Amino acid sequence: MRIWIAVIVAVAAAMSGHAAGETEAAAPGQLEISWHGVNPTGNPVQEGSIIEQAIEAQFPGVDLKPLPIDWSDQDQIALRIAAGDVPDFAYDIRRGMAGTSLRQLAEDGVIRSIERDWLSTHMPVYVSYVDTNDTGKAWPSTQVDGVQYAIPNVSAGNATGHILGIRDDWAAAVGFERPDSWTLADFEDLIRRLRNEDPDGNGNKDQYGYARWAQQGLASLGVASASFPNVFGAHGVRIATWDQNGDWSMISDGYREALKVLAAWWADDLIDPESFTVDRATWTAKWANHRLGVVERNWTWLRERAGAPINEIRKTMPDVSMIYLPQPEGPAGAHTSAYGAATLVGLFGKDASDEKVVKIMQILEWIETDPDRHWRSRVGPMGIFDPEVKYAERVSPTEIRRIGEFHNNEAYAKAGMYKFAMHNYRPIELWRTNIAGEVATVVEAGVAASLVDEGPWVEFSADVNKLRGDLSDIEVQFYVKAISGQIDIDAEWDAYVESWMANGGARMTEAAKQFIQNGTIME
Amino acid sequence: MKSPDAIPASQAPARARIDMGARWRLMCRYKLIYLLLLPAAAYFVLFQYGPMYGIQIAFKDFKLLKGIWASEWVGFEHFIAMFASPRFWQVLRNTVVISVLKLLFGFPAPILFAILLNELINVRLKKSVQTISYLPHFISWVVLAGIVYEVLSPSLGIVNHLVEAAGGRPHNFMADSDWFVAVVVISYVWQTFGWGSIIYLAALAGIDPQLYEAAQIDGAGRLQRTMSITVPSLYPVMVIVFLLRVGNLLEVGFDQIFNLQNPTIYDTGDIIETYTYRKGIIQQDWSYAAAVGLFNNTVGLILLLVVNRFTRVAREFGF
Repeated sequence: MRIWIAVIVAVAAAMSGHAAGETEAAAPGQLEISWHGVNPTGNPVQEGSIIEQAIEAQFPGVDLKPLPIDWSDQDQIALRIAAGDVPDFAYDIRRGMAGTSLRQLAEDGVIRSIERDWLSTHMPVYVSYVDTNDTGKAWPSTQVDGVQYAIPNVSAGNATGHILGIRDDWAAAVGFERPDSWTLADFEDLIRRLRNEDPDGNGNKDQYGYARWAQQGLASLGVASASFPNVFGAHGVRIATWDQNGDWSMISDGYREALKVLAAWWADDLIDPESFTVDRATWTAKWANHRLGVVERNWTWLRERAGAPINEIRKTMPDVSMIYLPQPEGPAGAHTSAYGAATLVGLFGKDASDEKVVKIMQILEWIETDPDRHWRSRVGPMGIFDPEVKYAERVSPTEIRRIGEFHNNEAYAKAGMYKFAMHNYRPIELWRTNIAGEVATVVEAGVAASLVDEGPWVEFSADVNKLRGDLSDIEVQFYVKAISGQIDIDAEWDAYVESWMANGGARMTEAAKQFIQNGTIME
Repeated sequence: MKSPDAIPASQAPARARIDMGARWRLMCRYKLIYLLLLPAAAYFVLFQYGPMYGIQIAFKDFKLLKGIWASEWVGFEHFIAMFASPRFWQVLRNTVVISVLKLLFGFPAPILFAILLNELINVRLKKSVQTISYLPHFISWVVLAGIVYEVLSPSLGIVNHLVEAAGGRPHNFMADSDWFVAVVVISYVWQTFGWGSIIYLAALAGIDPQLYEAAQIDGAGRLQRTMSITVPSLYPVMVIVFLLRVGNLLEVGFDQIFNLQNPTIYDTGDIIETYTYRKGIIQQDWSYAAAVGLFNNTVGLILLLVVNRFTRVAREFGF
């Protein structure tokens, strides 16, 4: 009896030990580096991917251990942090954690500091690209009280504007021609026609003229740059930013007026009523099923690629193209907004040794300074898909289907795409050299777009920054209620601003003004 | 007056020693049976009482690097911030409102269902209805929430198709704060009424059929028999279930709300449990979240003690 109990206990212990260990131990003498980079949504990258093998072949002795969790699922990574289990390298883990600042991660001991010189020594070309493309926020966003905590990021691609686009067949169907300049009233006329004139000719009134681009999931609704940026831009508003005076954009008069415009369109049934609750997959399905009119996004999403809006249509209608539109003019001119160039940085976990930090820097320098490796780390290894083809010419429907076989989220995950890259890093030196055709058109439209100023660099104490959590909730609720007609914007505006102020907005505003004026951080 | 069973104070310790000794011998005699208690006891120690050690972070400025013990004490700072925050009061109000509405509609639904089911004569139909009504109980809220979203979808949902057929415009119920609470309560009742009726059906099975026969002979109609025999027979169970439900008033149901909610309806749909989760885990504001959670648990404990007292009183009155 006792023997049997001992056997059962031993087997159970062995099995639980196996289940708890997610990866096999590194061989003696190897440098094991746990890595948490971006992955295709819902498809965590497993160990042993093609790109991981390529890196390990280049850096003998390195054993990369990608965390088998979804980068876009902030709950999972937050739970890891809560348990004190922080990977050696983490591509910005603050995403989706409103109120969590670099300062807080540093003060809580979640991340470790690095020497500024290490970046110059081990990432010299990378750093030179950062300095060339920096808009003034790349370095401050990686430091706490002058101490370096992260690898900076820049993205000329993400700094280009969110632009409007429409299918050329639908434009023709409703008698629309691309204007060189136009107003919000003209834009309204277009989306009204798309709603009422049955552009796909199926006899049903089942298209909406305009829709908010869907975020990854319902929980990450955050009203960031993807929220009707051309309408807010026409009112001089860049969502969720501090202006040069230290005032928050989402309690400004321009914001209020933009909401009223959108609310009027909503009331006229021009905006898709699911704009606030569908996820990206549903948005894409609606677009592919000919339900949505105008798309609005930056070029990296609108460009030709598997899963791009236009290619979803071309699967059945190969001759359809996109027309990219200029910014409609509003009370504050014709502007839009963008992601921002330097928001996501490379972090080092609290337990990462100096040796690991240096090796991580060397790996990223190797990947992110060569155009070919830079693209392959994101679009796949040569032989499966050639970036030169992708960016040189229009992709045929046959090619799209072929791409679809290899280029879906599952295949991306198996190849390890995105995982070992500074995902949003796109210095102009790497992406302007090999683009042509329609891709160039959408890039040029984004580059030509006039942007609302993204405001100055503002830094808060960890305690003050935590206030963003509740404020973000308040903003999202007012934003949705205002646009969807659940409230009278003018009647509720004062109460909204008062609530925003009372829940920490007043303290944040004071801190923002103090930082902008004196450069000091208010506790 | 002295109770005949009362033990003189001088003898009490000796009696206690005897009792303890006798009890120990009894435990030794049935040690294998007591051994069976060990897993349950270990579970409570490890997963229920052990983690209470962490409650102290509600009174500290918790830093992951320093750990629970070494983080600095800050007294009631987080509680002061909590009571000063309008968001906290909003979340508390939501918790109470949703909980009370769930009680209001969720409590009578299984009783009514059990009574109606009890009136069915066709046994096969009765069993079928009973089984089908249990099904939602076994489906997780992850799946149920997906079903709710699909049913209420403005473009694909059957509800909005009916709205359109009636000449109305599709409405996004899941992005409307006013509708969200109704969705929560209705989906809760739908999921629980079948399973919740089991206890009442068991009570109904215990009613002496002769009571019905006698009432029928006296000329009582079906409704009269229900109101005069069935419902009074259920009173004791109803009281106990009601009191237990009141005791858990602040436990609204994290699974359901978490899976149904989205940021657009936080003003009516964010409850203490989801708010604590978001503040603590997602926003890494551990100490503040612990303070909110501790407040919630303290109120819950007080409610439980009050209800426990009521239950004793109810028992004295024969329930």
